[in-house]
Amino acid sequence: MIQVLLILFTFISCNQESWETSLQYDLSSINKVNFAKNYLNKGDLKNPPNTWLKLATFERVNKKKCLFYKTPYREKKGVLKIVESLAGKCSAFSKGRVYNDNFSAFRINYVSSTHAEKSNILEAIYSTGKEQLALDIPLINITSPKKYERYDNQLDFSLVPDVSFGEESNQLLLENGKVCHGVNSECQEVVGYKCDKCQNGVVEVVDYNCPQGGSKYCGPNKCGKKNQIACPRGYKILNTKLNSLCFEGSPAGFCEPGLRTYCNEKNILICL
Amino acid sequence: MKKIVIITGVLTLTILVGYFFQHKNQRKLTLVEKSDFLQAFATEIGQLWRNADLEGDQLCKKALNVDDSYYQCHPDYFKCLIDKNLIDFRMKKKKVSLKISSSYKSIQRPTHIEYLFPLKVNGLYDLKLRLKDSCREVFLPQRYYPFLANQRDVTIEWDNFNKKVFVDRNLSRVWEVRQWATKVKNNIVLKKLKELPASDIAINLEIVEMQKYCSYQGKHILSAKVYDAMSLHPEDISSPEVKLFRAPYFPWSRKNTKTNIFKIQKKQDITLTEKQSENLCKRVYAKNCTSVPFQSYSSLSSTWMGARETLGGVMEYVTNTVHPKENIILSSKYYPWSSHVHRVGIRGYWDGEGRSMNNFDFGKYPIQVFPNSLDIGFRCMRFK
Repeated sequence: MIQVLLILFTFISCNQESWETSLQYDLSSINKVNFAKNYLNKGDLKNPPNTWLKLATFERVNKKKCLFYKTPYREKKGVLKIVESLAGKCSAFSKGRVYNDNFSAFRINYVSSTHAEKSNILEAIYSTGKEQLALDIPLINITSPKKYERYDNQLDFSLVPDVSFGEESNQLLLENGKVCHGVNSECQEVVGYKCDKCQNGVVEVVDYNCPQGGSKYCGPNKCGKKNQIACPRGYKILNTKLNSLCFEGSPAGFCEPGLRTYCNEKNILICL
Repeated sequence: MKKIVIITGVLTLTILVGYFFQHKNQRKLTLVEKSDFLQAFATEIGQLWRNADLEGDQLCKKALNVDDSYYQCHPDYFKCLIDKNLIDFRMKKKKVSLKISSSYKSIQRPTHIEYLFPLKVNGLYDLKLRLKDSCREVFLPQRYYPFLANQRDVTIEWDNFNKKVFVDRNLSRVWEVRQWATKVKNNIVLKKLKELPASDIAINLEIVEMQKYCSYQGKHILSAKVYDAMSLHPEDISSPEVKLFRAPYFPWSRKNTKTNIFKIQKKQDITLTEKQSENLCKRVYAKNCTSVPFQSYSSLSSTWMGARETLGGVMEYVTNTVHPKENIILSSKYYPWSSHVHRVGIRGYWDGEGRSMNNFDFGKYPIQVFPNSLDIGFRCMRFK
């Protein structure tokens, strides 16, 4: 009898992963992630004690989930848990999956750099006893903006830029004519950059004299033609401190021969 | 005593079964679910995909007269590596077997093309591998640039600071255009390309077809302004803020006098060795090169920022807002090296209506024997 029970116990134990492997599995193939900045790269998570902290929300194959950590309090140990989002919201008190409920210390760091080695990696540093341990979780499908240099391709930065796994989440695309990056006269971003969602390319218009360039729209490039936007000439080359580059005869844009630059009612330089 | 053992046994069994069901989500992960496998596999496969330099891969390199870079990020090459069992990926020293379970799929994303390979790993596990094309486009560094007009007589200054511009490294190829035409069911284009080898430059397309092809990928046809920027070797590559627009003639050198083609154009007494001729044909495939085949993707033709195939070969159509009458790069196989068309900034005009002599204006560079149909290629560029 005892032998049977031992075999059964061994069978069950062997068919389960460690919490570390399970956490790596749950996070390494996510498609989107939002980290709570207050808890990332901030050292051991202790305060407030005995409180659930939402460390990150993420998406994997169109399913949204959240990662929570309950800070330790007196003899109560820290708890790491994953919860599925319901109606777009996550609650730490929902039924979820507890990875480990025995942390004396826990913190997370996000390692990202332009170096190929060890980048786009989530690092969990924890202790359940006396020893401090580290667990690396590679975020294989996560991309982040990159500072491009000579010979670079157009892809964003990621752990291995041209390889990912699984299905990609559905992406909402922007139609032609939509603003995908908007700046105002104070050079503030009124529409955050989302030109990576344009279906048929991006064109930049000449409007304000901003270091980040002019506003950008989705659509094919017809610049320079009659009744179309002027083709931008650049901002530094003009060496001007004028707030707006949009005025009649502005040298900030190119037009076809016989046409001249004018400013339209939306403060965009066009060719007429 | 027997009773106690049975009761204890039943209780323990109940606890174990309960434990099993409570932790049923924490099942044993398969090989392809483990992050150490995925990370190692992604790293190794990524290198193979973008470098295409696997030992023994000649079995998969069948195209004629192409540089090895043709196979970089090429889905058919990668498929062949798997089909022929050439990928030696190991986990814990054990070779991992890879099979493609159904044909690969190309997916056009707004910023790139992606190929989805459904794999069967070790004959057991399904893995969807997504490979993005990271080889086709190159970044145009942010700096001041000259734009040449009126056959290099006029220089217009512009800059692309804070603008992310990418250009196609090579002219568009038959297999790439076919891939698009098949997706959008453009039978006219498919018919035009029917007889051409996959690795050939896509020629004979109408301007509107080129536009549609580029637009489908979120790109635009290359402009003359950007062509000059990618082809004119800057005076000082490391100083983007320097406005010095000397505009050398040839994309691969800052000094004209150091190039053989300049010496030929200057009618200097020069005889090229066979090797020198061969290399010059790989840079500028001109009328002098008819005895050797055109080499696709030639790395020798690379410009300062990594674009290739800028001079020689087929003519290239570019958009030109400022000077619409300068919309084809004349440097091509129709002119000998001695012709000054083989210089960056020398352009002619194509009305886009047809390909007979009347549809072109070559200015002071007429073609002596006009061919039945003039080959015109193109490439795309992306603003990000």
